[in-house]
Amino acid sequence: MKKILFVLLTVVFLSAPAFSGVEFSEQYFEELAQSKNKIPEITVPAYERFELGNGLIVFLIENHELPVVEISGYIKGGRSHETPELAGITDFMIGMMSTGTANMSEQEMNEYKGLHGTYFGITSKRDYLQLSGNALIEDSDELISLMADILMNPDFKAPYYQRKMMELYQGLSMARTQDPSLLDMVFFAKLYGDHPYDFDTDIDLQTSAVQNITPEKLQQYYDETIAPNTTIIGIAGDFKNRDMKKKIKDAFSEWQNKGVTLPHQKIIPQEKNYGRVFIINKPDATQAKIVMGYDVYDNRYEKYVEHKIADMVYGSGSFECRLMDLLRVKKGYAYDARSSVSVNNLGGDYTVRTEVKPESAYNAYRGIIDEMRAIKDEVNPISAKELYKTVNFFNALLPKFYSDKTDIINDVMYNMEITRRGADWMNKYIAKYNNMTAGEAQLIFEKKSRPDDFITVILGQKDLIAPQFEEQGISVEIIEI
Amino acid sequence: MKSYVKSIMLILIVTALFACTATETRMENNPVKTPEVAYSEFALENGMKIFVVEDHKVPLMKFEIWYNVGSIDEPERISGISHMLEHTMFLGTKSLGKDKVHHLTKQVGGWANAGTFYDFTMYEEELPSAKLELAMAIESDRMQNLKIDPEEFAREQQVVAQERRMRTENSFFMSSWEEMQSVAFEKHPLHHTVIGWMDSILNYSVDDMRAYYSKYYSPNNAVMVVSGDVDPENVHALAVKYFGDYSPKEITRLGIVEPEQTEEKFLKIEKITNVPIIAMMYKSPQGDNPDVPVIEALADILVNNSTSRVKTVLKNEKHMIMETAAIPMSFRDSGFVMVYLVPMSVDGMDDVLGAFDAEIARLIDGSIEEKELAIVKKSALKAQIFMMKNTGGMASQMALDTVRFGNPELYKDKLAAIKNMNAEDIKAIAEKYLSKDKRTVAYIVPKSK
Repeated sequence: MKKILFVLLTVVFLSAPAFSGVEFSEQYFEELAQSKNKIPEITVPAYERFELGNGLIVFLIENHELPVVEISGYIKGGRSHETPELAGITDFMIGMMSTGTANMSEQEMNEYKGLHGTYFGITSKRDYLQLSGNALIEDSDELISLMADILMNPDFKAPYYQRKMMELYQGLSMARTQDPSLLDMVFFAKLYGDHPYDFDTDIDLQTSAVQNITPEKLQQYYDETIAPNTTIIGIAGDFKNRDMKKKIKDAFSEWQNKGVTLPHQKIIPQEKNYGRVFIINKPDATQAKIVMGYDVYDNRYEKYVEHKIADMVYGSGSFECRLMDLLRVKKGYAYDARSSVSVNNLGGDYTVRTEVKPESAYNAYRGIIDEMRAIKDEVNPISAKELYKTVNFFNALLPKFYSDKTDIINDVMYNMEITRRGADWMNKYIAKYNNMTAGEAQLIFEKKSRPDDFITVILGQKDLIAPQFEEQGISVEIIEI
Repeated sequence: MKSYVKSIMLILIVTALFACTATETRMENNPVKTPEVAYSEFALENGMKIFVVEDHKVPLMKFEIWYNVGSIDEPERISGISHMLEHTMFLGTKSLGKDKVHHLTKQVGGWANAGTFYDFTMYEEELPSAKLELAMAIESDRMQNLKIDPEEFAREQQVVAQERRMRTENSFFMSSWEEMQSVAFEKHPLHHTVIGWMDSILNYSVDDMRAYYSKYYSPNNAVMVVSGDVDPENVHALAVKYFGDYSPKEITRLGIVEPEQTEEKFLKIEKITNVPIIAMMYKSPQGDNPDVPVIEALADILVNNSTSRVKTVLKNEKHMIMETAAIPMSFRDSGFVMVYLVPMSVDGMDDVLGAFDAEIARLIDGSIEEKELAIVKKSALKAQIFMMKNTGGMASQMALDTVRFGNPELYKDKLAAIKNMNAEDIKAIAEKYLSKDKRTVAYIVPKSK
């Protein structure tokens, strides 16, 4: 529907010749850019939380803006349930579950989804499986039914098992030639050692485990890890809560709860790898792909928000951060450079990633360390202006991520049921970073930055890269693929 | 292990994002109405078109300027210069220093970005809605006052060269795509991809850039779209203030027409990969051609849907392939449809291609079931309704269709086409566009084999 602005059009055509040009200057722009954004407050809309007799937790939230229904959810545990002998089984299991069920063949499920426009998917994370689904509201019954069937009635002996095994072999074989897969395989193995957090990227370990993933093992793994009492489902959409509640009860009441032991294996820091440089030799690489990092705290660490904000100044703040300023804007080495902190239930990792031409590999490596040291050693500490910009940025953009009720309910569920931070965590998060001072940002960065501990993995041509390090007296370990 | 094949698909889908379409239909027994997009539209005397899509949920707004210029406007010598210009636009103007666009937008709590495609270049800022004027001023300034410092320009050429190494040369699939496109299109600028050839990137002169900028960056070659928490009257007033006195320019385009392809082209590309790929490029018409919605539906019925014929037969029943997809690439000029198949082995590639061709023949010679059409129509209705969740995305789609075809409501035409489409339409389009003599086939094989 076009909202035609008759008045505006009249103004345009009658007054067009009277304009004078704008005199641009740096000061003109600075004046336009004066702004202090209001500290946002996220309002959690009314939702209903209930628990079925089998322990399944459900959040419902009515949203009548569009005739749709959306599902999000979690199953606790995730890939951390895996053992080395069954590395990769989680993704294979959810792939089987999403292809067909004991009640529907692959073809029947595909047609069911297509004709009703229903989507339901499961993805694996280190500490949980994530559920998502959607449909038009007219197909909500079919969506709920599909979700229940997929979660409750897997068929691991279905005919597509063999095909999926072949696809898995081929996929792993393909990954063995691809830069991102190879880089992560080596890096996370050096960082996490034998911990399950490494398995997802360990192509070789998964290849050796494929033959162990039998239908029987899949059924056993399903029985040990998928249960209503470790599942949380959130549903938002154009429905009445009481109607949806009945549908959920009808669909899931028969699902039997089980005793599930959640993973708890501790991460052992791989101190022997701190400060070392590994080069994965790939003779046809046109790039030096670099990842540097070390292990950090888990998601219960109370200063996580402060560290994350401080790190925006160093490397996770896109064009405004010091790493991008150095490696792209000043030196022209890299198209992109970024750091990130990733935290999970059992531990976390801090990484810096970039890609440069092979001849610039050492300079990029040096720059990443030196920029970190410049902050840590207070040669160039985090300034109040840098912190202000970061806080102002978050205050402006954060509400966008909570503008949709589905997003909010997803966040509420995650914070209540997975991390146990509480339903109002997002507002506590906002208060935390708004109450920080530059001194506190500096302090947390000093405390948590460990430039001497960087485990460095570079993928590229060894003949072009290794000599740069050796000339600087840094020994490198070459990994042939 | 997550499927690497899926990640290839992701690359393709991301590449094709701007070419996606929204469609609408109504199922006979399900009276779901598709909400309509409410927007304001006006134009300046100099030809600049402006759209405003209001969304007052949060105090943010997104400002976009779309220029009607992309890699299909480039002669081969300066291939990729549209993209290089996009980078140069962040190197400063007579009033703003290098990279100040990022500094200013971050300072107020927002961000700036840009993107180049085959037939457009787009600049965007997402800012607190009170800072609309800052975005207007930034884009107004750099539409006319770009400064090209030779030293900075040379350094940025290295950044773009690095981007090319990263996105194209270091990717076995994207480098193959590039090679294939250069064979499929011999005369037309689709001979090169958006990033351009390395030789061009390293050899643009500052004068090349000034001439290109001067030729294409003008108000009559641009569309402004503002979405979010804004007042259309305010947008209008600011547009008049910042762009009203800019003069339009006469733009002459290359006008190169690709000679009609009369026989199948074939190439074998060796790459370091353990898994082979069959890629096929079929020629297609320009994006507002009435055949395009049917081509997109055909792509879904034949290849993309989980119930598609190729997936059902070649993947699920015969276990010949791991994955497949068809990506229609539509532009303001003629385009193509990229189809890829991932065979289980190198040895079986000919059989896979034969089986794929057999499915095309079966579709043309046989019948299309009602449920195949119903799935396409359902998917279109759902996509359109879910797209309404994203005001900014809808606004961008309207801007794109205006830049390309002067029609912000092209999506409605496509919806109507899908709604009225029948089995015979699909078969006729398959026969018209999926003939062997109009395609280029590439076998991407492991180097050692």
